[in-house]
Amino acid sequence: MDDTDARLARLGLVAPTRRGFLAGAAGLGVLATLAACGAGGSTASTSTSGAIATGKPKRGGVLKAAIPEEPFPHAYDMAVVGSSTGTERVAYLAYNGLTNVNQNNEIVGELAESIETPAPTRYIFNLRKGVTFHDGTPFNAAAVKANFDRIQSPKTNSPRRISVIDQVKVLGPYQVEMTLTHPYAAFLGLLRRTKIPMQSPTAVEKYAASDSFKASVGTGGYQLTSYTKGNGVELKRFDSYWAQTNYFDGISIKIIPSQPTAIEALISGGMDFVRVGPDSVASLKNNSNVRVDAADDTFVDYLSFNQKVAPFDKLEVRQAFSEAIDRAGLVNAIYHGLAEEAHSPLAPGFAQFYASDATVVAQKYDATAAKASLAAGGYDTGSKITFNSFTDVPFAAEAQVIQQALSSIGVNTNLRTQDFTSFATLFYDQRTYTIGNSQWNGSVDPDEVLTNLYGPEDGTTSNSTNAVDPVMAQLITAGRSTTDVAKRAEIYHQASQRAAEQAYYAFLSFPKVLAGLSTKVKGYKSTIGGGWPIDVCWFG
Amino acid sequence: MSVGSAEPALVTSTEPVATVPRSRTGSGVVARRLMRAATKLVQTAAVVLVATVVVFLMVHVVPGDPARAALGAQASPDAVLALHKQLGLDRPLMVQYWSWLTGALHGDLGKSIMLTEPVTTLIKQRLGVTAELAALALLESLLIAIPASAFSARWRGRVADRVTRMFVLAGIAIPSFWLAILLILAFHNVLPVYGYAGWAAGLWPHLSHLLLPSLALAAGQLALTFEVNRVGMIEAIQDEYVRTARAHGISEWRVYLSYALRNAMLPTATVVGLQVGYLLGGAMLIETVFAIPGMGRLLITAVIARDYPLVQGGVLVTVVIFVVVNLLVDGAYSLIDPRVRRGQRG
Repeated sequence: MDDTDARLARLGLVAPTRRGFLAGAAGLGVLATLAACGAGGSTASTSTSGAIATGKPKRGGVLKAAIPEEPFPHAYDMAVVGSSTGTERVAYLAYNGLTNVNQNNEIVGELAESIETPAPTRYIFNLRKGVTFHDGTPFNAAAVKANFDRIQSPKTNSPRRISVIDQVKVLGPYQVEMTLTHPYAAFLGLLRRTKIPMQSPTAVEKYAASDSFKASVGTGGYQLTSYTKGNGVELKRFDSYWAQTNYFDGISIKIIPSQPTAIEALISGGMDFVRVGPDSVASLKNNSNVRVDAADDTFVDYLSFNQKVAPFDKLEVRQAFSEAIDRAGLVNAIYHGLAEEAHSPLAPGFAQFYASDATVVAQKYDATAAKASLAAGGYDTGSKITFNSFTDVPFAAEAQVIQQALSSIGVNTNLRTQDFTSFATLFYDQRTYTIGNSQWNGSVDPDEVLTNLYGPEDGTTSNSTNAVDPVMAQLITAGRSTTDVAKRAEIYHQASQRAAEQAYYAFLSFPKVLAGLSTKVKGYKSTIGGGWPIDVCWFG
Repeated sequence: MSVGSAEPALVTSTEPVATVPRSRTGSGVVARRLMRAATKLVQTAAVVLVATVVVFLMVHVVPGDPARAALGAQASPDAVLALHKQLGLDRPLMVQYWSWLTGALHGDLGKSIMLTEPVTTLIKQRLGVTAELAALALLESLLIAIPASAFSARWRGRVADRVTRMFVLAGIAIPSFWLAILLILAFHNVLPVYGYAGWAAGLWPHLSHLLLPSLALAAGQLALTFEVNRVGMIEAIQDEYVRTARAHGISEWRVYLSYALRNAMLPTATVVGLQVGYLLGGAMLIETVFAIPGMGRLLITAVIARDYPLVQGGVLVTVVIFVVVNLLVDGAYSLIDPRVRRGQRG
């Protein structure tokens, strides 16, 4: 029995357990993780994520990685941290969730060894035994209950509160039951490691009020040891990690806001992992010490039309704007081909829920049709509308391409590019803009995307269009109500079609997630949902 | 008159002597100096107060909600609104300003929204890093600019002068952030291109992290110091005391370095004092490019996150430093040049 088999045996995953349909999935998740540890890394310049074979995992070394911005407030006490992908990525290394996304982009049990669903609104989690938090606190049903009590309590005002949870009950030392207010097929995805990481109740009780960082104690492969604000975060290997897939001695993360600096650090060997933008890929292509990982994800770039501002309440006008945009040209100009053309909100990362070009017929570039639609909508080409965008790469450039496309059909725009905070306040909170471009990202289930883009206009979602679409609302409800994957796929194909036809948004592109890695880093495979799976990598 | 002294300029000065009658008694001089100091202090306090009002209004007028910045793009508007109220941002502006000002007068600059620590603690942590970066940049600019300007003045109008000026003035022409990126590209295999290592890491690791950023920061200041000092030297070498020194057979280099340079340094000292403020400002860009956790980066992070307490506190401290340095320069100038003390200049 080799190391991998021994580990699987310790985890009880060599043979599938008989309890619950997700038990096998949980095992498969870890199997997939370990199998993929034999993937990734080579001297190739750009590769599809995890497509390159390598050898056996090895212990040792400190991985040096860069993040572009300061973690969000209360880092890394995740129960009170907002929706920051950067903060969640670092937290991903130190925590586990009841569920997680495996390397096949499926939701599987993580700290839940198996999950039973005796009724559509009841979930029973059978927890992994022998797991401890970094401070020695045992992980058990009481710890799970303490985590959910804190997140769900109105006193905590947690941005991670899950409104569909009605009750969390301890059934035994390692068994927890959650009852939902209504059937919700995407529920297990909401419990993934990036969203609801399990924190040590001891550390939370002792430090949450005084020192967020000290309260940030998980069960993950790496233990947070220091956070120097403005400088970086240090993690060391947690020797008692239950999965034993933590091969580095530590992970050192530096905050490097300037991408050229981070890339030079990667080239010079000062960094092993940095995020790269599409513009930087060409500069890394000829470097034999670096490879670029490009992975499909669930990101979608879109142009949003405010329904409360005339004439965007007219379908023909929205369609005209959508038809004016040459998505192939935009993908090449802005993403250098490292994106797919979008015609609906659900990206290729959603696998079976992704409705291919053949399925969704609307939202295609056709300048002639665009002019006709504009005329049919009675659009006044003598007018000038404000187009809001923001300075982050590549959104300002994307807006310029859209502006030119609109100009070609006679639409005059005044492009107003602001920093993201100003833009977000106007676009998501006040919703007083006319048209604007943005992105939705970090989802693992179509329901997360559709609820936020088309959900009720009551302040609980990110529906920037102010649109109320009863048909879409019915489709969202139907998609939540069944766990049958084939049925859900059919519903989401219909939803994609509806989204494309109604054109409250013109969908632009599905960008790939890009990472620059030293070729000595092995085992990296990007996953959807905002995780940072460098925690299972090693140095070759 | 002693030829070897730097004082002969006073003897040969043609500047008019002040004619305003002044008290000759010691107490009169003290009273006058106290009055001058009090006036300066009141002016300084007024400058600081106006700066706080301007900064407060600016950060609040700029669109963007700190609550949205703190919760991220995907937070629901309801969650943003709840945090907005929790932070007290729904109170009238005057109430918010008064609350901040009274706290500041008691040494409490509030708590950072983004970094969740007292603003004073964060400033204490970062100010030393920026001060060190600025000091090193200043030192480098002086070590390059002073000899180069002496050299350039010595060979004024010749090829050597033109080439030196061309190189040095390129420092002003090239934007500092661009120069910083060029330095990173050129030296990324030799020196660290990001981060900061404290003294505890050892002398070389510490200095190596600061060399490229300090050079990028020094470049612009270097050119200014060079130009001021070069002009001062060219003027000085035409003065009578230099001619007198030459007539005494003193070597040309000694004339330049001991006589002309020393007198040319007076305006240079003033410029160097003013540069401290510009170095603090320039450090913002350089710290961002080189990922150095100093005051500049802290303020940029604060502005991006609309972290009102941190922006206000950071700017207050920067303004106070700028004003105090200029007060010190005023004082130092009167120490360097006795004519200022005697009321003959300035």
